[in-house]
Amino acid sequence: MICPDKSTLMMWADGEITGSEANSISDHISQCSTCSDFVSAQKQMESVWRKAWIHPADADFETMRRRLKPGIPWWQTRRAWYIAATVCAVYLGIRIFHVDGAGTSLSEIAAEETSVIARISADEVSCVPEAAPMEEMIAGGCEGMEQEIEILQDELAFSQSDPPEIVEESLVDLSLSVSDSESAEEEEILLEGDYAAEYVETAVSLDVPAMECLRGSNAALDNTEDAEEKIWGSGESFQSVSDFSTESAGFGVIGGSAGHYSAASGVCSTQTEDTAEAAADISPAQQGEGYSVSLTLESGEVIEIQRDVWDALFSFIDLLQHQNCYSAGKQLVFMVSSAGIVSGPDVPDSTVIDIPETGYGNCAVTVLFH
Amino acid sequence: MIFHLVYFLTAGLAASEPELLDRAVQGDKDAFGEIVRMYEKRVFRVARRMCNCDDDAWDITQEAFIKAMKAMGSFNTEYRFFTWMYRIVTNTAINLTRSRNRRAEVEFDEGYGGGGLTATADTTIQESNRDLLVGAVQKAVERLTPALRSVFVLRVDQELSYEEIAETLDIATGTVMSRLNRARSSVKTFVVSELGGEL
Repeated sequence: MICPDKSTLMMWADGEITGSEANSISDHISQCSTCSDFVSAQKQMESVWRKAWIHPADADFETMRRRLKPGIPWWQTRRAWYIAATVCAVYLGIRIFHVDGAGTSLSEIAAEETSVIARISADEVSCVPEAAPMEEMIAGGCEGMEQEIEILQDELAFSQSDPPEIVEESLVDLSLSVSDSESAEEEEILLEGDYAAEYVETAVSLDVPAMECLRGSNAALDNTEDAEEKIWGSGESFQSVSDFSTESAGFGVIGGSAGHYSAASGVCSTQTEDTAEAAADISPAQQGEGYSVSLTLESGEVIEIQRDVWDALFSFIDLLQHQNCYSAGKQLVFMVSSAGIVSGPDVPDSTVIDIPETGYGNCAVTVLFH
Repeated sequence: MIFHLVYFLTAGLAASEPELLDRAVQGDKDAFGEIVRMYEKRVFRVARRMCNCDDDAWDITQEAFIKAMKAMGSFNTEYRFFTWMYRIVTNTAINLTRSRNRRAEVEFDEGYGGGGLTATADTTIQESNRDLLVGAVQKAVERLTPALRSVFVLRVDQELSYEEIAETLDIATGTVMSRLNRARSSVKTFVVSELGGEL
C-alpha cells in the first residue's frame, strides 16, 4: 500500500475514518515506520499541549459568576423593586402631602387652580397684577397686547359675577361648579380618580400655551385649542364625564393659567418685545421671589436654601423664569454635578453654574413657582 | 456533616441538562445558573486557549455567558447546547482578538509537512523538554489566524469531532478538514523551528 497523505493519516488518527478504509490504514501504519512516526509525533505533541492545562481555582469561577449577575435584567433584580417602590412612595408622598415647601397639598393646589378658573373673566386677563384696570395695564407698557386681549375677551366668555366654586375636592375626585355666562346655568363637573389628577397635573403644566395665549396672536389662539385638547384629552379619555361643557371649561382653564400667571408677577410681560427692556431693570432680589428652591443632596437630605447661599443657582433660575415665564404651580427639577454642570429636561444643554463654597455639587434641585 | 449529606442527596435529584435548558429558555435564571456551572470550565478553557491571557479569558467567558443568557430565549433545544455555546465563546474570542489587534496575524506555510519537518523515530519527549514543547505549541497556536486557531483548539484541545466543529463554527466539514490540516502544519513548522528539530 502506498503511504496515505498526511491529511488522511491525521483524519484516521482523529477517528474520522471508519470501516474498511480505516482498517487498511491501520494495517499500513503497523508496517510503515515513517507513517507511524509521523502520526505518533503529531499525537504526542498535541497530547502534551492538551494535558498542560491547569484549571483555575473554583473561587475564580465563583467570582466570574458573581460578575455575571449584572447581566440579569434589571427589572428582575430585587434591588430594582426596592428602588422602584421607594421612588413611588416618595413621589406619592410629595404629590399628596407636600407639593411645595409650604406643605401645600394636592387638594389645595386643585382648589387654587379651580379658584383661578373662577377668577377668569375678560377683565382679569392682564399683564399687570389682577387688581389693575385695563387702562392701567395699557399705560403700564402693554399697548402691544391691547388688541390681543380684546381677542381673548371675545373668546373667554365667562361670567364675571358668578365664579365657579369648588363644591368638593379630594385626592380621588374633583367636583367643580362652573357658571356658563351664555346659558346662565351652573354646571357641576365631576372628575373622578385619574381624571382629576390629570386635570390638575395638565393644568399646572400648561404654562407655555398659556403664555402664548397671553401674547394673543392668531397662532396662539390655535395653540389654545391645542392646550384645550391637552387638558381634556382627545375626547375618548373623558367621555365618561357626562354633561360636561368642554368648550367653556376648557377655555376657562387656559385663561386661568394665563391669568394666574399674569397676576403672580410682572415678569411675564417681559416676554413681549415691547417690554423686553423693562425686564432688565428687575433687580435680582425681585427675580428671586416667587419660587422656592430645595436641594436633594447625595445623602438624601432635602434642604431649602436662600439666594445668599447659592446666588449663581438663583440667578440661573431667574434666567429660566425670564425665558419661560413659568406660572404658579410649575415645578422644575434638574441636576447639578460637582463640576457645576446643570442637566434636566427644562435646562439648556451645556449649562454650567458656579458651585458655592459650601459644596452643593451632585444634588437635585427642585424649584416650585408660586 | 448534615450539610454534606443534604448536598449529596439533592445532587442526586439535580435536573438533567435538557430539563435545565427548557427552563432556561423559559427565562428561569436559576436554571441558567446551573448551566453556567456545568459549562464554565470548558468555556473558560476554550477562551484561554484562544487568547492565552487569563484576564482576557475571564472577560471572554463572562461575555460569552452574558450573550448566551440574552439569547437563551431564542435557543432551539433540539440543537446541541455545547456547540451553540462553543460558537459563542469562539466568536467572542475572535472578536476580542481582532478588536485589540495585538499582533499581526501570521499564517505559516500551508503545505503540510513542509519546511524541513522530520518526525523522528524517537518520539519520546524528555520531561525537561515538555515545558519547552508546551510553550512552543502555545506560541504557535497564538500565531494562527483566528479561523485556524478556533478549529485547532476545538479539535486538539476539546477533541470535538469534525462534524461538531463544523456545526459549532457553522462551516462545512470539508472546510474543517482543510483548516485543521493547515493549522497543524503551521503549528508543527513553528515548533520544529523553535525547538531546533528536537521533536
